[in-house]
Amino acid sequence: MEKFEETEKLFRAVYPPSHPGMFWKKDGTLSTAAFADSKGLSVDRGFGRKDEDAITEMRRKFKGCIVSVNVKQCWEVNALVVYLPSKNNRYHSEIHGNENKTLLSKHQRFYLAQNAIVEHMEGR
Amino acid sequence: MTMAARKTYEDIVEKLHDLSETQLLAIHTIVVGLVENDDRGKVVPDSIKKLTEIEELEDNWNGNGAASFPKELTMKVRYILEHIAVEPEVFPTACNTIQLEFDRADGAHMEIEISESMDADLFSVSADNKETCESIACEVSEINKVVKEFYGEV
Repeated sequence: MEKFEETEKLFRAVYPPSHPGMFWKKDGTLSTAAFADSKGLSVDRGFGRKDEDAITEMRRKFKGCIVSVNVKQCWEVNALVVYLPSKNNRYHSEIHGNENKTLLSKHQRFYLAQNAIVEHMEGR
Repeated sequence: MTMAARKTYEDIVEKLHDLSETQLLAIHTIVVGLVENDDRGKVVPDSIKKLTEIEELEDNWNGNGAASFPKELTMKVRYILEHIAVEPEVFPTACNTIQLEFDRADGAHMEIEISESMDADLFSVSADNKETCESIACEVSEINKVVKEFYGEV
């Protein structure tokens, strides 16, 4: 398994593409709800790529907005970053609440939502 | 009723006598529909509009297998939104829950996560970053109590 660096970015496509504003609040910040997924929070790891290359590649596969957090921010709230490459996506990873729970706690969601950087905004 | 209006009314009634039962039934259906759907002048709150968008989400709306939202849940949330003391912002989650969020000008934040269960999860962060997590009864009275407390109305 490839180790993660603290500064490595994790890119997340915020669905659904049909409603690009679904998870944005009126003040322009991201809702914590965008980080709640009982199946595990899917992300693409940077893996040494330039940000723009990672985003371009994601946009070939996903529709929707793209935000990023870094590995250090996940570790700061004791979230687990797991490298789970798939046949179609060698960058696929997940952020889990801990070793036993895929769902992030509310504290973890809040922290990550507050620190998320908007990398690409679809249709806005 | 004015003379002119009365004449119009009598003309319509006379014409109705010439219509078949089917035609009368069709007119009745149209009139009832117009009365029931007369939303002219009513402002639909943003939270209700957002809930309608959430209701329309189909299975796999997040690209990771999230299910569409059950009618029982969206009806419960709609009822809460129609009776809530302060309008929240509304968001879906990929845990089959719907989240109501409240933000105060001083930075304090509160969210209430509603599922199909009898309880709702409350999470709040004060202006000085103190977090609390608790379970509350998913009832309008209980939700309004915590919302009013959050905005300092109690």
